[in-house]
Amino acid sequence: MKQFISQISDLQSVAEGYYRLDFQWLIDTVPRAGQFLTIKIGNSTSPLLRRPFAISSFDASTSTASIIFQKRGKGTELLSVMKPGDDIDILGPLGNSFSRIVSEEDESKENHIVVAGGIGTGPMLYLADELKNNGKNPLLIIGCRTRDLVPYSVLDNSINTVICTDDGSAGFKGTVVDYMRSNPGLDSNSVIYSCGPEPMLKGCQLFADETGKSSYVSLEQMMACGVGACMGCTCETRGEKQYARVCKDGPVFAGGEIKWT
Amino acid sequence: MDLTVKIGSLTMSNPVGTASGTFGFGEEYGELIDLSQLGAIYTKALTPEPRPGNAVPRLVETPSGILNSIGLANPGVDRFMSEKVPFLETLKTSVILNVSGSTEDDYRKVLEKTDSLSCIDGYEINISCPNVKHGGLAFGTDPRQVETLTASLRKMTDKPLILKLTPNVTDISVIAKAAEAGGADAVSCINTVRGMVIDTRKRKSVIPAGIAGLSGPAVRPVGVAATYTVSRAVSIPVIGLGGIMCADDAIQYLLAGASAVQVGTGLFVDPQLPLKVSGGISAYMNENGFEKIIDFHGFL
Ligand SMILES: Cc1cc2nc3c(=O)[nH]c(=O)nc-3n(C[C@H](O)[C@H](O)[C@H](O)COP(=O)(O)OP(=O)(O)OC[C@H]3O[C@@H](n4cnc5c(N)ncnc54)[C@H](O)[C@@H]3O)c2cc1C
Ligand SMILES: Cc1cc2nc3c(=O)[nH]c(=O)nc-3n(C[C@H](O)[C@H](O)[C@H](O)COP(=O)(O)O)c2cc1C
Ligand code: FES
Repeated sequence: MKQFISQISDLQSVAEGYYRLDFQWLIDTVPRAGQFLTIKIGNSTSPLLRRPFAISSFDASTSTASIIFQKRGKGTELLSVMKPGDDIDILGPLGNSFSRIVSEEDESKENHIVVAGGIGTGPMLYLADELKNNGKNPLLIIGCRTRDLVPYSVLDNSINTVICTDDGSAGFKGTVVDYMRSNPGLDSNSVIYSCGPEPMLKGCQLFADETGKSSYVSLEQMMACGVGACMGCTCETRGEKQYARVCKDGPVFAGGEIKWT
Repeated sequence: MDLTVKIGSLTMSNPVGTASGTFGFGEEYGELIDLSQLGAIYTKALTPEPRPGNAVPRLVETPSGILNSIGLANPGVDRFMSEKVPFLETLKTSVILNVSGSTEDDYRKVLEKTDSLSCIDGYEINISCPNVKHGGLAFGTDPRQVETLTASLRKMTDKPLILKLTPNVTDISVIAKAAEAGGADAVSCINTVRGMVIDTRKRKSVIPAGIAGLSGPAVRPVGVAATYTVSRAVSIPVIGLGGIMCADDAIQYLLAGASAVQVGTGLFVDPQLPLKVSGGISAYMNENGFEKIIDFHGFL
């Protein structure tokens, strides 16, 4: 983990309200899928805190890393209007990663189902890519409300991808969990990885429990330090009043460890 | 030029430390900042028993600030000894243990178990905690309780005793005087300012605990005023903090009467900030022909 000032090499809109930002990765540590970074946006005290974003791709040959972000509030609004060549203040890579958490037994399983929703799309594209590079044949399932929110331009057509939309305007009509339920072909020798809105993660966890699959989730929480020092970003884990730090002990957890509310 | 600061029997190498609760027990930031260049590390609060902390979310950003309700989450004194002390023993930097509790006994227990540790160079007593034996009112809001607690801890240790004052009182100078009367070597101010943010859609407090603690640049003028008031009321050193985001902010505290400062929320924005602040303080001293930190005093 290091703090460094990089330059934006590209910034493109990839779906309605979603952007992909590419920048030079100026340190030796290779970021892994599930890890994130924080960006100090602007020089003023508003927004104040660094904003966390998951790494969505990493190209070692050009040392280019990317994030995919949604315009949500002031910080991401300012980020969305930055230009190639502009400086950005990066702190990363932070957090564990899927590769650090997934058990060997699960890693060697046949089927890897990578489920993404909303702002959780970035890290899952990277995970699908990582799995593919490890000789696996992952199934990527992306859930969106509607067609305009699907980031088609960043999808890799060598990865088996299913789009689910709530309104049926593209791909399968229904949620990602509806899709998995309607495909009994996904046998129990499968691992489900998910990142996105909490109801989706909960749905994936429940489905995995019901069907005897392993499940890993990547969580999101308000963060201040991002390095495990302030105890601000905790999530509740199994056991009486037990908390884990999303930034340092996570953001990737075995789904069974989390106490879902 | 001499940047050292004396607090009781301790000499800190420079006036800039990291504020309690924002820097853990030092380890997490070790990769991002040269710990040996810090004037002091003020640790996360330590209580006798482990505390899991409060329900989430524990944080929310506010205009130029953050509101937090961490709930003193910490490993408790026994796990502190086994998990944190080995790392602290490797440091040359002054380490000030921040101590919290719900009763006078809690504070005493932490001192009892840690006073013999050579890696602990002093104590910062967090008196913003509710005293469960006094109807849950914070220790730091009642001068009698502050004097009694300070005197009781004073008897247990020769290490520097710093009482950390809460700004949530009518007259902070009365509390500072009580700490001095009880035998404190210094006071630090300010802890967080009471604040609340309400989600108007859900019609609920954003932070489940309700009222929480405000920090960051929004509170800096409150901290500078407290430092100004307190340093006129007592003759022991005052350590100023609250919203320091650059060297100039820290210089305001020194001019207001502080002998040292701490950087808290600013670390979240820039982990290197304490070093930039100490660099900026020495540059200012150079430009203005100051020899010692006390040369900042006496202008206001
Ligand atoms: C580990 C992690 C990975 C993330 N990865 C991505 C990603 O790949 N793409 C993406 O679009 N978003 C991601 N997010 C969410 C992103 O950090 C927020 O959308 C962003 O901080 C919003 O900032 P804002 O100023 O635009 O909005 P604001 O108006 O400040 O906030 C909008 C919402 O964003 C969240 N948020 C604000 N500040 C923080 C903070 N400091 N830490 C965490 N959440 C915050 C809160 O839920 C808030 O309600 C991630 C968050 C975490 C914790
Ligand atoms: C996340 C967080 C946790 C804190 N925890 C403690 C604590 O355990 N003990 C304590 O005395 N003060 C604690 N504080 C208060 C800070 O040490 C400091 O007094 C306050 O934040 C003002 O300084 P700042 O604006 O530079 O952060 C905490 C502050 C924050 C933001
Ligand atoms: S954000 Fe500080 S511990 Fe996670």
